[in-house]
Amino acid sequence: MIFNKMHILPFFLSFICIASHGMGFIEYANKSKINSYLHEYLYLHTDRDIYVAGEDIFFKVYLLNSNTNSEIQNSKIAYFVIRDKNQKRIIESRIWLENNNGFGQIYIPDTLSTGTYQISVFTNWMKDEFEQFRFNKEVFIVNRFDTDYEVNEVDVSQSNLNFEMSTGKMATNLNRDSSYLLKLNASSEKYSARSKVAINALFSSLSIDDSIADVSISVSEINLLDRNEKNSIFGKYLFQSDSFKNDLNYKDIETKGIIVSGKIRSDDNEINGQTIYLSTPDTIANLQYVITDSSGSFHFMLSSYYEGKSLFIGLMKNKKNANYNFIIDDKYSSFIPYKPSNNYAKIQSSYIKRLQDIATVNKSFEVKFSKELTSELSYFYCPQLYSNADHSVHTSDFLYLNQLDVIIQETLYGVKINKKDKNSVNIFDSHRNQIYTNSFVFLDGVPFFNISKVLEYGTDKVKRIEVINSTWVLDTLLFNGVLSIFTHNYEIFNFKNEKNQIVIPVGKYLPRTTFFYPNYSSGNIMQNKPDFRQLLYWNPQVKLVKDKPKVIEFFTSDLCSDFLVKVEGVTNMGKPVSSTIIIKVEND
Amino acid sequence: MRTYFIFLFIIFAKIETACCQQNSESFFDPRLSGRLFINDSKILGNQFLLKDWFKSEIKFKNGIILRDKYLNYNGYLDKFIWVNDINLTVVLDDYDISEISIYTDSLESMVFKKILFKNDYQNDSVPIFAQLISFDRIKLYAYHQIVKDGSVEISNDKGVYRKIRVEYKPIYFFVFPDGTQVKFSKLSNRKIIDSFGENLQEIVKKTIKINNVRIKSELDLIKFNILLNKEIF
Repeated sequence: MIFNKMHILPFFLSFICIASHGMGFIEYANKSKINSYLHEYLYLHTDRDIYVAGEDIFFKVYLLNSNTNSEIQNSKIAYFVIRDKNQKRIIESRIWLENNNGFGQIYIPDTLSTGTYQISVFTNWMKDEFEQFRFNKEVFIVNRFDTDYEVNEVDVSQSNLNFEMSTGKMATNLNRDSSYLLKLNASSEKYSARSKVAINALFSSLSIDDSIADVSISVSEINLLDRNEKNSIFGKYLFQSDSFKNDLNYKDIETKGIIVSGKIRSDDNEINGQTIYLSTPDTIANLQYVITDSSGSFHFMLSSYYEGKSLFIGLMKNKKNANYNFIIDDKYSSFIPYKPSNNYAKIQSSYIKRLQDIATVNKSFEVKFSKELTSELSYFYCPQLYSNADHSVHTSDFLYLNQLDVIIQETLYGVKINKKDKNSVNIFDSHRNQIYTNSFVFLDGVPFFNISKVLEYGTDKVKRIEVINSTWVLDTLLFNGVLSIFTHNYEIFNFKNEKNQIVIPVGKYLPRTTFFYPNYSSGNIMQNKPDFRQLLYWNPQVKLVKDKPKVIEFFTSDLCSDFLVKVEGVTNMGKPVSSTIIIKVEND
Repeated sequence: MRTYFIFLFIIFAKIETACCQQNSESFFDPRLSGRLFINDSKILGNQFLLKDWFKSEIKFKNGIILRDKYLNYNGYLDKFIWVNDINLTVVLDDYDISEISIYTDSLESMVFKKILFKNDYQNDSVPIFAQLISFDRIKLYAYHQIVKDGSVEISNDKGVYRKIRVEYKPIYFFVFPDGTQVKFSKLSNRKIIDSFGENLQEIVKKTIKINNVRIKSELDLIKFNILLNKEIF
């Protein structure tokens, strides 16, 4: 009987174990399922496919996903990289995504040589095994001064255009889903130079839930690659929905800001469980910290507070005999090489020459067509260690003092730099009637571990000193007294190469810009300037209300050619829509 | 023997599952900070509003919400005391915090909002955390202050000590849509009528009279606020 009981006991315990964790298991199972189906897809709409070095690329990035679970947030940042055939990254930038889209313009350095380049847009999780989900687009960039480029002599008019060269009609409709339709109609068949064009856009859908389409519109001189279906929003969307689905690491999804990740390396010291701080020079002591995992990895998510600032990342317990290397992950790296296609080999040399001439004219007359929009980044959080110091001293209130320890001695009560004990900072806690012998020091808001190096600072360098004279707690981290020294000229930058620390720039989000086009109906704007714009119109922020036609107006330039009107976007239910027509501009 | 292996396997699977359940959002959440709270032995009486620490939700000025933090309100300091993960009591640095909800039970919560308040003994308005107890066009708040109420001499074997006696003295105040505050501390019809300006006193009197209101408790006050809102708006 006892034997039987001993057999029953494990089953009984197992049952309790499962029952107690029942809800958790379901929750986990659901989460795993969610993970499996979380997929974001990016699409990039650029104003053109062929550029001259020195021009701007106007673009809009759309983020689509198949995830319908509202608890899961999408990425808020898209990365934008242009690389050449040698895999060299020419441009690296990032865009803040508001309502799952972001737009702006990127200047193409005028030193680039003529050739094909790859634009790659991606979110942070699209790396390693998920790199295949990045959206790639090939563009052709012409240098204004290059003459020896390799091209085949193919007449543009003989090229394999799938588009009807008709005007006033919807030439193509890339929308393969019959329930969504985007119709474009031009007001006339032909236009003269500097005349007004009106395009009528009508979005319709059989779906009741779809009411608005958020679209971007480009009107640019037609070229061979505008009709490459691989680049169409639907081509990409259908490809993605059939692709296999793997689990994603939540830590990689940038839901609130940039993730800075990396690893620590050390030959002699433990890498697991180390406290890593992140801070930036500022007028307030600021600090974030994380604990490394068994591989020495760490992750920080940065709010917009860090925009354009320098990050100081280091070890909290900066022991003198410890020696650590910091390796910060390269966010723009790519393992899949860019293999240039031969799509652009068909471009005529005369066409390239024309592009160069137009760019030269625009450059000579300083013709620019964009303006910056204000953009508010929603997530701002300053991780200040404390909001109010117990004591604060402005050195300008005192006579000149030539040493930091003298300044502290003369202006602050209960704080001393103990020269006999390796210049440790002693702070007296009057509440507990206790002296802290190794208090924490900040220099210009950043943790600082070698106060000996700033002892020579006088009031000419030191602007303000703050003291916390008690035990301060940051989550589970304890600071027995805090001394914060702020300098006039951010002297902390002289200590960038301190041991067990790394300093990296954060960079900035690309500003949101919009295209400005001349209005020839209202007076003599640019009347005395040549206008050879190949981009007649670019608007990344157009809202099309279902079944309500919207008129888009703009003016033609002096350039007589065929222009492609391209409208791309997504509905409020996340369904992509796209349509194009061609208009002609001819001499009167 | 096999049974024991199955049992061990289930236990292992449970631990593994629990590890995987780490909330990824909390991974990047902001961290709370503050001064270590040391109970002042010179104070006689209870400084805290609640008898225990309760799970709370902290809303930051920028909209970020931290959940499942254990808090209690110290009316003497007008600060929230937080128990961190290593069981240290910390006076919460509330500079970036706009709202705190303390869940005193699974369904009920006390919502504290940071608002500017001008006390009789202060020249300027200062930010305080007051409990929102009735929400309508006119909002009703309770400022759960615990104040000094004299001192007492306590003698023991080691000598005689003077201790500060503290007492719970809440202040209630209505906040009108234009920001006007009407405050009072005693819950009686007369005190409440007197606290309103001349322009509103007649309406208040009328509301009390018509509805036969007798304000003696916080609950009566909440009912009165509902009636007053109906009368004015």
